[in-house]
Amino acid sequence: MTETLSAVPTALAEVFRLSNLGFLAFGVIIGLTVGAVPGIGGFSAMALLLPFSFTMEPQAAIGMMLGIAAASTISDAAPAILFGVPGGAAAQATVLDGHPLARKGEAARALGASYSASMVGGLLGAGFLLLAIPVARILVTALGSPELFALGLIGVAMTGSLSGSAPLKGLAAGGLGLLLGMVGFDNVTANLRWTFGELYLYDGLPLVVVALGLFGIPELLQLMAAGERISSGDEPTVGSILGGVRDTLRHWFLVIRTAAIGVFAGIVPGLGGGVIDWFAYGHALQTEKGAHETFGRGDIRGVIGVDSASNAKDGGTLLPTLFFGVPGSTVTALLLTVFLVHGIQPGPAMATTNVDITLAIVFTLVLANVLGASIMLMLGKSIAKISLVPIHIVSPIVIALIAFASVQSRGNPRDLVVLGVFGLIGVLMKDAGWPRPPLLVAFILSPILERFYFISTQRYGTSWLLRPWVIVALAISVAVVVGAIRQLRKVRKRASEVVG
Amino acid sequence: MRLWFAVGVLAVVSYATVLALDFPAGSRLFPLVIGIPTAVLALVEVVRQVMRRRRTPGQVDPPADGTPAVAMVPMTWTYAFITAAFFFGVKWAAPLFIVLYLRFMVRWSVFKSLIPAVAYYFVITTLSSALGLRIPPGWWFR
Repeated sequence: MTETLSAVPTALAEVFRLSNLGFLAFGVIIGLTVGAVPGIGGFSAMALLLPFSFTMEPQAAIGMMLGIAAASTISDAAPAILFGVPGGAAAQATVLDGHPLARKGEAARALGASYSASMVGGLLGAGFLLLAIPVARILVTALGSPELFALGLIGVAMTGSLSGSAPLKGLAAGGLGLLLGMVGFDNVTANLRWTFGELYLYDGLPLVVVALGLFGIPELLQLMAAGERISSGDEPTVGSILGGVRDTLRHWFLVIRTAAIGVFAGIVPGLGGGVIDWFAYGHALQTEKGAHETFGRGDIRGVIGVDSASNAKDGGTLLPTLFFGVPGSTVTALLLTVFLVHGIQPGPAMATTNVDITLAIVFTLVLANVLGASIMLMLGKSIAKISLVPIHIVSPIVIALIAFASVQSRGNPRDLVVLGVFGLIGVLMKDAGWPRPPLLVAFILSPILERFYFISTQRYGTSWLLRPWVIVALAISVAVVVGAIRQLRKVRKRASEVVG
Repeated sequence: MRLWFAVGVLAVVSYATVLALDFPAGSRLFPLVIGIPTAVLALVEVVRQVMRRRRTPGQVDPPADGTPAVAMVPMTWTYAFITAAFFFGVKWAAPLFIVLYLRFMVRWSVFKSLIPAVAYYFVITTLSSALGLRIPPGWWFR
């Protein structure tokens, strides 16, 4: 502990050096720009700038890369809220309540809440990383394959509750998502599954295209069918932006809880932002008062919970990267490359002799979040005005952007076929009252779950089912499903009493 | 719609599960562990919808969230664009789509419609060259 405290001044001096601050600001601006374009995300920008970072000073390179990573998950909420098109994987759940808020004329409030929750979540994530320095090793090794599998199951079970009024359809959609996630090469045995001889399917279905098809196309078609403009309200005001900030402060306990979910889920390698936001949304839905009646119809708590978690996860994903050299996501894999090129060796030394570097990373993460969110809050009013533009004018441009984002996935025209097919599936699901989030969550989790399931059965036979944390996780999964069904019955009973 | 969608899901999941029976041992375990219960859930949903129809014969299902998700005109425009982008490439199909949509749906003049199309083209080409992103040619130009 004394070692950590004595390294604080050195770390602060390094972070606040003018040149390092400049590269951090550059990274934040790049991150905000690419994050706001649907489907591109921070990864592309980081990959492009990676070679340039090799010749930079270590702290400048880390600052630039962390700036991109943190800022891109702040600005990706804008297209999700305004058009119902997620800017990135971590903004998928933002669509559910953010977009209805924009349609009610509260785009500025939703943006204000999103950016402020992102900032607080990011700060809490960095704070957690700081606190975890002494206990990092214990935290990461506590989770084995059986526990990780059970954790994934909670995610799939939550899909039942996410579906709100249709737990059965939610679970079936989750099952369908798991099956779709298995298309292509089987990661465990290297056999092909359901590819029908099509080379394109060998790598499975592209996540970005599936998400854009399921959410982007149906929401836009619905907006176009309704005509007029996105917002039904009057001009969004600066006051609304501040109202969103106040909402975040008012729901401080939700922000802390979902940030904790983001951090802990971020520690698990492979889960990523695409799943964590749904975990947070499911938690908010389960625990917030009256959420079952208002979530999905424009409840500000749905936006706050998701965005707090998606930025807090950065602190979590950095933990296994720094202390074990195990990147928790593709973004941290690039960061790891930067560390290694600059001679920073991940491992226990990051908590002892190299603790100043770890602290510098924590402070950089804090600065990146504050800077990114502040810029977006300042621009919030102008961004919210997009919701007043007639949808007929905006829609062809957004559809063209969705197509552009889709072909970025594999650089193959077939991406557009997948986009069209999943767009149609999304429209049909929406029309038939089948929830789409469970399908997407399960699709993302499928390869991870299968890998952990395979390792667990190979190593422990069936005895892994009796491990204490597995039992706890399975019990939570059952409780989540049963709770959703009971809640639904209660709501229906109340509705029939009102009608009766 | 609700019944037919549930029937569609049941058919797809059942077909996938039957195909999985022919996969090698290690590869078929997880598909079967997931496929069988999913098919059962889809079957239960089909039965529920059939029973609901019997209770209220002749009733047309309202859209699930109160607003129709499908309107044929925007759907036709969108899918015509996706088809054009597949064959000719996004780089050319997207600006053309923007011009045509704004000209015929929004009733803008050709000149006014060209402005966002050119802006779009400029933004995506700049973004692509700056970030090294690929814009694949269409199917006919491969």
